Amino acid sequence: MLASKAHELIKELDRSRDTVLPPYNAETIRFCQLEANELFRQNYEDVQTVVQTGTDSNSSASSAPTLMPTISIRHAAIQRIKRCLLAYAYHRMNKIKSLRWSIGPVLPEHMRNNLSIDEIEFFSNYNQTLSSYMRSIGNNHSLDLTSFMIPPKKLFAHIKCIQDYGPYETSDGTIIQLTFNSEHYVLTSDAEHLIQRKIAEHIV
Amino acid sequence: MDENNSYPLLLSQNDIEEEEDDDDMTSQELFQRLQQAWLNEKYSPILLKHENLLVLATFELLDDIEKRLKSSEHKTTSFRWLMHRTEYNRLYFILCSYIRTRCSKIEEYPSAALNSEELLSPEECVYAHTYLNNMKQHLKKSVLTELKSEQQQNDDDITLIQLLPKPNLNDFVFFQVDQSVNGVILSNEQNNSGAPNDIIDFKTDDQYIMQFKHINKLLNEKQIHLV
Repeated sequence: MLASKAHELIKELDRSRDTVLPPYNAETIRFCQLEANELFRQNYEDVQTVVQTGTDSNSSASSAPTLMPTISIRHAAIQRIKRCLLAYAYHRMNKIKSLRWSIGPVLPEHMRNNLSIDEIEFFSNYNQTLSSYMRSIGNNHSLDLTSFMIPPKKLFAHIKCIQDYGPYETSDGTIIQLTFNSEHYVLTSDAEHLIQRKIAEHIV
Repeated sequence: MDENNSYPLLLSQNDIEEEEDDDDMTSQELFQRLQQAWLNEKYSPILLKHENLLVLATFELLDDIEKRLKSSEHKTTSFRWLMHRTEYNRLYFILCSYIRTRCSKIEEYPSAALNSEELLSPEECVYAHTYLNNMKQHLKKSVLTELKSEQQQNDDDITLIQLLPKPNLNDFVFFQVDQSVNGVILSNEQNNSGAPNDIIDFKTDDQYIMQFKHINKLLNEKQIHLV
């Protein structure tokens, strides 16, 4: 079945919708590209044949018209493979962008292993673009867009530390000791920052 | 959702009003306009005009509040400090959310955004250009360069742009009318005598739900606002 490997790529993405991004499937992609190139080569030969028989003799050659359906099927298959590959890359790209907003500019090791080299490059370029935009907002006033992702309901938040971080300086200068299981009452902006970096969590 | 409730301005009018007269806007007015711009942007399916004036004025206000907060002595013990800080957080959130919504719209439909450059601020223009280049380069490198096709270079750009999603102007939105408008034409069908079939009059303070494409122009001229 033509373009079935490309369909597998899409199925793989669909299966991993709620979980972490799966490793970059370079092998399947390479296979799809080879398949597309092969189809294109075959199509090219057939088109040459049709063009030749068309120019050689005016009486319609018997072989020429029967090649047209084959050519259009191959063309459709090439388009489908191209579309699937682009959808795969585009979807992964969107997921990587959302990682930047939720986790921050530095990716943990296990996530970075699942990305291809191009994707890592895209991530660092996106990082750069986003930070230079954030710096330039409001005539270079700068605004941190990743703070306050949810509307701040209260001024202070009760958080519990889940990691041994050590001394941490809050935004108004006081230094608090973050040891495992210690509870703190901090400003919402600080709390959000700590929760985003998975150093602490909310106490419900 | 809580963030849609109106945020009452807790700062005393007297404090801020003397210092903030940018374009004759009191801080209360600034806040109302910022909030309305934020809601409009949130509910509209396409990118609206960038309110540069509001953004700059909000930055000034935020800086002002921050200066007061830093200079006051009884931090976290005075009620006044707490109220100011809450207001600061909320204002900061609305501004952030406004810019974030615009960013995500630019990222989703970068070519549509770049076609209507007057809606973007200069920094957003730069952002949209670099983002689009980054995206095209990434997609080309990872997928398309291996595929041989006849007109490879031109083909790639055009195909990419065509395959990307486009903003949906047919989304339905709720809105409320600020100034009454007569004779909004909804479709081009004509009845027997040659007059357009669907005309609607909007009266002030009425609320409607309609497809976005019909009211796009009214929203730009601030005759309606989205709810």
